[in-house]
Amino acid sequence: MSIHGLSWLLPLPPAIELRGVGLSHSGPPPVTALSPVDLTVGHGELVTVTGPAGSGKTTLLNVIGLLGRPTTGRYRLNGIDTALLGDRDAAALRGRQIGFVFQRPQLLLSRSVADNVSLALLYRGLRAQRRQRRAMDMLDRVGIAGLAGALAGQLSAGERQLAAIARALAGGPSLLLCDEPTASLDPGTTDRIIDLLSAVHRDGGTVLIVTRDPLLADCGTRSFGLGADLLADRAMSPGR
Amino acid sequence: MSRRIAEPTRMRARDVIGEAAAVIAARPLRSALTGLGTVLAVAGFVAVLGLSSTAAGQVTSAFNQRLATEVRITVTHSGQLAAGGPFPPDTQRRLDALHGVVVAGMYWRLTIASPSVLPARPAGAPDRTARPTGSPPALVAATPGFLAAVGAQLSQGRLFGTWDQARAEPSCLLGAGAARRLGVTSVSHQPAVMIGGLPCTVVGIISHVRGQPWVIGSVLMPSTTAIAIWDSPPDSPGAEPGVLVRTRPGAAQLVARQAPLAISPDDPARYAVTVPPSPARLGSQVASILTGLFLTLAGISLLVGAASIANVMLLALAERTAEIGLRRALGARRRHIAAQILVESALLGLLGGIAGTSLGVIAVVLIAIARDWTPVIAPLTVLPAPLIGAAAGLVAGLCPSWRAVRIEPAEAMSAYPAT
Repeated sequence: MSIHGLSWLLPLPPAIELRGVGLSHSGPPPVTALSPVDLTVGHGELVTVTGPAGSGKTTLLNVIGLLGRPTTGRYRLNGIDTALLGDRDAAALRGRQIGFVFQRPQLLLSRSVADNVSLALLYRGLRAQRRQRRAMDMLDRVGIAGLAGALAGQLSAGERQLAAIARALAGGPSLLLCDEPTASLDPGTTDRIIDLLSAVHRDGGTVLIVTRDPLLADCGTRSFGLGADLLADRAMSPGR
Repeated sequence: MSRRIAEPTRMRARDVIGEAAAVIAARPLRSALTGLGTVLAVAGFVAVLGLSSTAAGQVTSAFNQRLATEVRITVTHSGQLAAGGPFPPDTQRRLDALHGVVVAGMYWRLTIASPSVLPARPAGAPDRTARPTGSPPALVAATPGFLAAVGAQLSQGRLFGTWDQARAEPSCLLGAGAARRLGVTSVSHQPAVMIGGLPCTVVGIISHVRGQPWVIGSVLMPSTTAIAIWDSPPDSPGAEPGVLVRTRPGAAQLVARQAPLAISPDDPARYAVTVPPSPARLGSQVASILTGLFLTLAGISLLVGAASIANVMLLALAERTAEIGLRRALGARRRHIAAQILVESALLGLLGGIAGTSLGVIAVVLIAIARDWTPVIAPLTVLPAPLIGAAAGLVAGLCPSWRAVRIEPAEAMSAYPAT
C-alpha cells in the first residue's frame, strides 16, 4: 500500500526484479535446479514462462513466491531485497500479497470446498464467518458456488483446480503465481481458467504463469522463455 | 530492516484449535487408536486412586459407625477386692479432665435379694396381665453420664438427670425390650414397676443406644437411688461395675491408655480397658504399597501412550508434508505450524484423558457395586486426570512439531502428491 501510495513521488520499482538468480542443490550429486536468470516484471503485467521440462520453471516460481531461497543472484520484490527477509516477513508477504496456483490443486481432501478456499484467510486472523463469506464470493466468481459444501475429495480434477484458483484469489493478491494451471484439464475448464487469469490481469494484478500450453502462453502481455540458455550451456559444456 | 514489509500474519487461538480438531476428526479411527495408550493410562490412574480411596472409605465408615469413639473400663477380679472400692468417688471428674473425653459415666448391676421386676397394678384391680415368664430384666444402676455416653435415645418420656440423681428418686428407665416384657407401652400416666417389692416410677423408654445392646433389655435407675433405696453400692459382690467413656473421633486409643492411670495412679492394673480395634494398619500399608505399584504402572503406560502419539504424528508428517507446505504458502509462519501440531497432540491426549477418566470412574463404580461398597472418588483425582492426558500429548507433540517447522515449503510442494 505504501509503495502504491508514494508512486507519484518515487519511480515505482518493478514488481519482480531478478538479477542472476539461480538455485542449485549442493548434493551429492550437485544439481542445478535453476540456472541464473535475469527477469523484470512490471506491475500489472501478465507474463507467461515457458520452457522444457527440467528447465527450472517451478523452481523459478517457488523463488519468486518466497517458498525457496535462491543460492545465487539477487531478487527484489517490489523493490525489497528478499535475501534480507526473515520468516515473519516472508510469511506476511506470502499470506497477504502473493497468491499461488500449484500444478496440483493441493486441496485438503477431507475438508469442504469452502473450508479449503477460506484457508487462504486463516493466517490473517479473520473471524471464521468472514472467511466463509469471502470464500463463497470466490467460489461464485470461479463458477462452483454450488459445490461449497462438498468435500474436496469428491470433486473432479477440473473442479479441484477451480477451487484452488478460488483459494488463490481469496486473499486478493497483488501477485498471482500459477504453475501449469491447465495441465491435463479438459478444454472447457482450460478456457474458463484462462478467462479467470486474464480477468485478474485486467483488474491490475501482476500475473506470472508457468505453462507449456500454447493457448495459455499466448494470452500474456509477454512471454519469457526459460531453458534456452540452459540448453545452450549444456551444449557448450557437455562435461557438466 | 526498519521498514515494515507487510502486516505480519497471525492465527487466532480458536482457529489453531479448530484446525487441530478438524485434522483429528478427519481420521477418527486413527485418532482413537493413537490416543488409546493415553486412555488406558489415565483410566489406570483414576481406577487405582478411586479404588484405594473407596477401600479406605469403607474401612473408616464401618469403623466410625460403632466402635471408634467408645472406651469401656471394667474392674479385674483382683481390683474388685481392692481396698477403697472398685472406682474412687471422683472417677467421673478424673475422666472428664482427660483430653479427648466427651462424656463418661458409671454403671453397675444391682445385687438385691429378690431381683423380681413386676408390672404394678392399681390396688384391688384384678390381675389381667399375664405374668412375665423367664428371667427378669437386668437391674442396672447408671449415672447420667452413662446415659449420655451410651447415646440413649428415647421413644417416650425423659431421661433421669441430676435432679433424680441428687434426690435419689425411686424412678427408672426401661429399655424398649424390658418395657415390652413388662407390658409398659406408655409413660404418660406415670406407670410404676415393682422392683424387689418396692414401687418405682417409669420416666422413659429407651429405644436406641450405641454399642451396648444389653441396655435395651435392662431396667436402669439413678445410681444414688440404687445406693439409697436398694442399698446396692458398686462395690457390692457381683455388681460388675464399669465406666463407659465416649471420646472424640480418633481419641479412643489415647484415652484408653490414659484412663486407668487417671482413675488410679497407684494401681492402674486393676482396670481392664476395652478399646475399639485400631484401624487395620497392616492392611493399609499393604494397600499403599500396591497403590504405589499400580500408579507406577499407570505412569509407565502414560509414557507409552505419549510415545504412541509422538510416533503416529511423526509418521503422519510424511503424508502431511504437502499440507504443511500449502499452509506456509498461504502465510503460515513456522510458529503457526508448530502451534497446530502441538495443539493437535495435546488435544489427542486430552480426548484420551477424558475417555480414560470416564473408563476409570466406571471401573471403580462397577467394582464397588460388585463388592457392595460405596464408591468414593475424590474430585481432586478426577478433575485433573484429563489434564494429565493433555500434558502427555503436549510433550508427545514436541518432536513432531520440531520436525514439521523444518519442512521447506518449496520441497513440500514438489516432492509429494496432493493430500
